Amino acid sequence: MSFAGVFFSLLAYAALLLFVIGLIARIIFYAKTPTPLKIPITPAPKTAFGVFLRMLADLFLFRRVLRSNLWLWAGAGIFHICLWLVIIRHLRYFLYPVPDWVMAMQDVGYYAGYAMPFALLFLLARRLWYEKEVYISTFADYFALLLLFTIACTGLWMTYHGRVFLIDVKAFILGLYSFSFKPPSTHPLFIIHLLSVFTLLVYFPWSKLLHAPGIFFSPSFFQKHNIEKKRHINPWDYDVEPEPFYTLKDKEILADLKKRAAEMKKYDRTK
Amino acid sequence: MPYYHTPYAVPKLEDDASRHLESYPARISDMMGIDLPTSLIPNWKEEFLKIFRELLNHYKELRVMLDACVRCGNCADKCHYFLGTGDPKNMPVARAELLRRVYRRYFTPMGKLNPNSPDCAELSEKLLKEMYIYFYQCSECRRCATFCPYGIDTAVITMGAREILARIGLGTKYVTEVVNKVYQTGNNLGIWPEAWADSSQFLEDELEEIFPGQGIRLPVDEYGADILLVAPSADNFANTDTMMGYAVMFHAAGVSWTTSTYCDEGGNFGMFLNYKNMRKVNNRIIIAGKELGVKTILWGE
Amino acid sequence: MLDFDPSFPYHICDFAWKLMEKGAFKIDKSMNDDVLVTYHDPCNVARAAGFFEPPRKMTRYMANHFYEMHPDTIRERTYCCGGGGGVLADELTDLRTLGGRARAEAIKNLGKKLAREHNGDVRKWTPNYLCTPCAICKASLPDSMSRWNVLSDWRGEEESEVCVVGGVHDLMLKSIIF
Repeated sequence: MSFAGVFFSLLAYAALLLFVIGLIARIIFYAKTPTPLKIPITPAPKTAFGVFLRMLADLFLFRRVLRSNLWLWAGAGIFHICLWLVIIRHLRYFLYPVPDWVMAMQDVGYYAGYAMPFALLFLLARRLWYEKEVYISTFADYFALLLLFTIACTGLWMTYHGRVFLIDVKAFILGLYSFSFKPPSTHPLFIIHLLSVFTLLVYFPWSKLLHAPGIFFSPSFFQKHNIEKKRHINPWDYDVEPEPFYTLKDKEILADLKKRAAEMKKYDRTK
Repeated sequence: MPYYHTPYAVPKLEDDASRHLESYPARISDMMGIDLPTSLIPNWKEEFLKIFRELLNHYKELRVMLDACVRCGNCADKCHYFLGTGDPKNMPVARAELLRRVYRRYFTPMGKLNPNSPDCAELSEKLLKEMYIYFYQCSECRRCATFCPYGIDTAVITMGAREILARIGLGTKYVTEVVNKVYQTGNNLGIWPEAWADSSQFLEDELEEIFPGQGIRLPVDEYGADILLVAPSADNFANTDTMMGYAVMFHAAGVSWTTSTYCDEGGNFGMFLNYKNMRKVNNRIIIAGKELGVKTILWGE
Repeated sequence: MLDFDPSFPYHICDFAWKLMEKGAFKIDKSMNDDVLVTYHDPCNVARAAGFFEPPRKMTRYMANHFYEMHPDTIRERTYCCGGGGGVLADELTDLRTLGGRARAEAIKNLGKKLAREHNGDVRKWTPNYLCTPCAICKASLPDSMSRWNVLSDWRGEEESEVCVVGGVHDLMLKSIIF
């Protein structure tokens, strides 16, 4: 048991714990909060299956961006696909024995790993190029992009040029499962990679990266357009006291209303 | 390539281009009539955060939509007010950011750890003024939501912000006046029931001239009709052709219908102010329907 | 004739179209030949209620000359008239006409497209009737129409007229026969 082993293992546990707790807390919060209004964006599906299909189109095709902003669609699309492929590729460091399908994905992950920094650079360039994007971009946007860029670049570099001992890496990760505190590879690139990933994990549940779980809880997405069939009830509705009903024949109520309206007007004059 | 089309070129950004377009503040009588504080309350900062917290716990959409925005900018050139004015704060994302900064400052760990971050904003008179201007330059049309990859609906954020503003005593003259008129007269235009009946009578005479001998009627307050028509009150005065169109249509279809002087307005301006008033205005329709014993309610155009 | 009676309130165009479909009304389409009609989806009717077809079908049923604007400016992608959400106040006239510019230009673009298709004059083929089932649009859009010069020669009168904003049932009033 070395100092580095204990230090980085504890960091890893802390980062994971914050990530999981933060994310679950957020999701529970989302799930518990009521939706008082019926706000699907029409044309919306009328059945749960239709909502599922639409969700698929939005998750995998980025349908809404596709029909209005091709560059953003391409950049964001390539980045997200690459991200998932690279994550799958990384499974071989986390599983023992490594399943065949993960090994089969290694080549795809290799190319995805190269494409990812370029997609990120493109998204960053977009933010710096367009006047509108410069205006709306905040520190958080650049931070997230640069963090991911660091992770992608260090990862790429050490995989193909940096000669990091994979055996050390795997021993460290598998050591986390059994609390045996194995030291990680001390190659500087790997240390930067590792620390950036921890930062990302901690940052995730409190930032705009919440768009990943948030999309499943967005009422304009998941609600069905079925007002004809089912009445939408607001769970915390106020009890309002109705004004008395009147028709043309209720002269007294009408006279009273007029008197009250005239009295109200006085307050404006005294101002 | 037939791709996304805007009717005219997207304007260049121009800071504060529409800042001067500010609604008049609400009148005291109107704010009293709709049960809101008549002017900015002294402890508005605490009250602001209290109401904000209540809204976050009441509306899932508000919380999700404040969290999930990635500021991709896809909504920016979709807002007609941005296309028209070129004011960057009229981009839906920038408009929402006014409220989102306050949310980050007071309701997320990031803001508590680093309150001076540029992504956070302290509550101040200046910010409140900006909110008042720009949240009343949103028409809650939801066009941005159809293009947002997460379905973020600026209308929800605008409604939330306006709810807070209204409850700390900031309303606009037009909206509060209209809601107050609904409570007084049953419609947005402030037409008293007698005038409504007169106008209906006038349109009946008009129809008699166009279609002589048909006896087309515009019934008012008739118990036991099949249909209660809740049309915009403007139909009876400004867009009279539309109102006569309804009458002709019902006459040709041979159904009995009526309007109600208690509730002769289909538009609900409570939605542009706060939830309680929205509910109260809507409630009138149900009461009118039940009292008059109609079978169904139809919305006007 | 009235065989549907749902327990929720519904739109008058829905009601009218269901009857119209069955041929309940005698309509003389040629009465509406003096207008070149296009349809503007109000935000709440389109995006909140998902109500796209009945008013369109009604308009087609009652008018010979009905044309649609660019698909990115209608249906769920429709532009607001500029007066929704409590912006209809007098002091904000400038704002709402600026907001209504998108719709005004969309109508002018339709005019250009139709003129190209028919080898005609742009003014001649600019719609002179904007059909919309929304009271706020009817109050707000006329200002935008005159500010952005949506002028039409469809009727062939000496002076071009500004595009009129009106309802669906207005057409019915003009074209129904008893």
